[in-house]
Amino acid sequence: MRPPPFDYLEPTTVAEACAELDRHRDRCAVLAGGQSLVAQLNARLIRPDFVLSIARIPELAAVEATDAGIRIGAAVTQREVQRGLAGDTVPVLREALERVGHVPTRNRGTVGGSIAFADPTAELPAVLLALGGTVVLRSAGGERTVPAGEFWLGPFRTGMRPDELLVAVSIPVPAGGVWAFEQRHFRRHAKVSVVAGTAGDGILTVAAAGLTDTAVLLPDAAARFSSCASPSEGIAAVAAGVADLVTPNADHYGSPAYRRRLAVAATEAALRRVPGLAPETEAA
Amino acid sequence: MTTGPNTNPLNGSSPTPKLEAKPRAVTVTVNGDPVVALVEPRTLLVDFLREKAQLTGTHTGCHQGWCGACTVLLDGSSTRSCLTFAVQADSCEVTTVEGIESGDGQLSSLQRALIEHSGFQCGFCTPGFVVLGTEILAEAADGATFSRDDLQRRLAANICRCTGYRGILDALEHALAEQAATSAEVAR
Repeated sequence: MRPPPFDYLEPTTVAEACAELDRHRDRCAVLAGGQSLVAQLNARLIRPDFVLSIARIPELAAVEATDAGIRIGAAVTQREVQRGLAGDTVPVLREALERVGHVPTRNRGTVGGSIAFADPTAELPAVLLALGGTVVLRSAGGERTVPAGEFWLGPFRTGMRPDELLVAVSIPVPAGGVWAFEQRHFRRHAKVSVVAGTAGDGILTVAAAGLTDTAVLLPDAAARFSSCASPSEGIAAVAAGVADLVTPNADHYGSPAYRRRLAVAATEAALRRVPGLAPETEAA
Repeated sequence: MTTGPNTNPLNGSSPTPKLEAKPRAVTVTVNGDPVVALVEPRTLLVDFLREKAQLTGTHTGCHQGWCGACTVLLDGSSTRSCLTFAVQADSCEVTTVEGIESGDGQLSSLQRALIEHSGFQCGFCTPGFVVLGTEILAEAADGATFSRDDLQRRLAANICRCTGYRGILDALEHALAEQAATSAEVAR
């Protein structure tokens, strides 16, 4: 199918874009790379009166190194992130992006778009959550920064107001942070992604996607691990904790029991790659 | 790529009558030639190419980004032309499968290799694979190296339901080797 008719807005500044969003509110859809939005339009799952493209706003096209980490503009493509400064600075982002669509979709699709789309099985929200990232939202009324943990409200739902534009995603880059990304899936459906590591403070953090309505953190990952006598028991305890985050949401791609097994496999694989956690016998 | 459930507030929320979407003039350089056309904003790039540029080599399959039959190069990067609006390609350069062969109609090394290695049967997916492989060859010319596994992952972007991919993979490997040998020859 082809999309229903809409009017096309192509502002060249963020201020202009925010003014348009303020005027049209929920009659307007924001187009970044379009790799999810255009698919939805083609299927006529959404029927906006306006589509606002952010591709010609130079301010949104940059990746910047900041004091705290990196800031990825909303129009920066996934492929640019993989191949450039952001991927160099946050290698786990590069690793996760390998699993996001394919090269042709990553050539157009953006990091900001994937965060805003809020697909519960998407890889990037788990990365943002684990690394303590934030989402920068701008509206005619000003700017606010939302921690990743408060951004997603449910499947394909975020706390963004209809007059707000996602302008950037920020990821802190503390010294000594080490992260591993692992995914287990059934033919790229029933995907379970796990991001595990330490933010430089040595405290184990584990985030996962594909288990429930949004990407989630395992709240007591560090305590679970350290309460065990050996690293291999610790890894099993954390993996069991991640499996317990699966909500009974069976679909034709996988039962809850199958997803629990994917969760255990992905978590164990990720934890074994975090230095200092790997069982002695398996250390290379 | 994923299509969300039908819970979006954008769906039919508007009480006001639908605006008439104004057609716009767009200029896309297709295979080196400028194509100017008046299009609705909702016109997909694949339809622009097939109907306005009258180049029907780019196939249109799923309209969801899954199959890759519509893959073209947009400013040199492989792109799903079914997930891109023609207005987004305004002032950009597009290469379709028709632009891969040389000016005198000589097939590219990848196209020849696809024939030699039986890299297609029904041919529906072939334009997408030719474009996908052409991007890989360009990256290799810039110094990137690809293992067979890498190539397999890259080709997984597009769907072929006839050949089982082996012929396509063999053809791409052959074209890469040929390109590497040619550039080594030139360097000498």
